[in-house]
Amino acid sequence: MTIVQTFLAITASHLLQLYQMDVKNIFLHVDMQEEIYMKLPSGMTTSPHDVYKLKRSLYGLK
Amino acid sequence: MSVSGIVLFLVYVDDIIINGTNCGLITKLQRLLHATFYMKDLGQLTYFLGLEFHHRANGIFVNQHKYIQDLITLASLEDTSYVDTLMEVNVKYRKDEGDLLNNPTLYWCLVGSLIYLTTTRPDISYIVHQFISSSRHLHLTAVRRIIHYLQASPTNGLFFYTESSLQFVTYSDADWAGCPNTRRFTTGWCLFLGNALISRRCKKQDRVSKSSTEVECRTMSTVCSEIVWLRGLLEEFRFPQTTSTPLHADNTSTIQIVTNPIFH
Repeated sequence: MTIVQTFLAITASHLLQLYQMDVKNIFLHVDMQEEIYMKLPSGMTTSPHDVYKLKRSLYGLK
Repeated sequence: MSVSGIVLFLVYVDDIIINGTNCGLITKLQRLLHATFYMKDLGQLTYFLGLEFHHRANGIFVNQHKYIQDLITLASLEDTSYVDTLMEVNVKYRKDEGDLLNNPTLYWCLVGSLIYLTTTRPDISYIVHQFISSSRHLHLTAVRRIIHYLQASPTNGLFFYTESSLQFVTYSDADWAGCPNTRRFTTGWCLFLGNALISRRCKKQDRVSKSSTEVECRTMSTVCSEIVWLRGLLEEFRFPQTTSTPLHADNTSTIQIVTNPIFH
C-alpha cells in the first residue's frame, strides 16, 4: 500500500495521468485439462535433454 | 523508461495502474499489453483495491467510503447514531477482561476490515492495533464504537496535492508503556512525501523496552530502514532525493544519543 501511495504522490505532484487496466481472466491453480510439457527457466540446473510435465496450472497460463 | 519520459506500471495480481510523463509512451504500453494479454482498459483510475480515487483540480483525493459503508452493514449498525470520539477516556482494554465471545468470527472480520481501513484513515490505527490479540465482549463494544465514529465521517481520506515537493519528511514517537498486559510501548511513525502521507505504522513493540529513550531510539532505527527503502524506491522511479531526509523525534536524550557521532 505504501507503493500505491507513493505512486499517487508522484502522480499528483507532477500532474501526471493515471490509468487503470484489468486482466479479464485469471486462473490461479486451476486443474490441468491438457498435457503440457515445459522446459525449466534458465538458471535452474537441469540436463538439457529433460522436459518437465506441468502438474498444476501456472499463473497467467490461460 | 526512455529519453522522452518514464512510464510507471504497478501490478497487483490482475489489477494494473499505469502512470507516466509521456502520454504517447503510455498508449504504446497499453497497446502492447492488449496485444499480449486479454485485457480491459478501465480509463482513468477511480477504484483500486477498495480505495476510491477522486480527481480534483488541486490533487487526488483517496477514501474508502464504500468500504466503510460495507463495514457498517456488516456490523449491522446502519441506523444507530454516531459518536465524535474514537474511544472512551482513560480506558485500557485488558486481554482477559470480560467474557469471551461465543462466536468471534464477526469480531475478527470487523477488526480485519478496520486494519485495512487504516490505509486512508490513519486516525484509527492507534486504537485498532490494540484489538489484535483478544476477542471479548468489551472489545467488541469498543470496536462497535470505532464504527460509530466512522459513521460520523465516512468520506474522510487522504489528499495528494498537485505540485507538492517530492522530499521526504518523517516523524516518530512512542507512548509510555501503553499495553496494560505486557507493559510494552506502542511506537508510531509517519512518513510524508512533500505533504502527502505515504507510509505510517502504529505497532506495539515486540519486546519490552526499559526506558522511553530506548523505545524512541528503536523507533527511529525502524523509521531509518523505511527511509532507506523508500529513498531507493524513488531513485528507481527516477525521482531521487536531493537532500538528506529529516527525521523528527521529541525525546531529548534520544536526540542527544543519535546525533553523537561517537555512537555510530
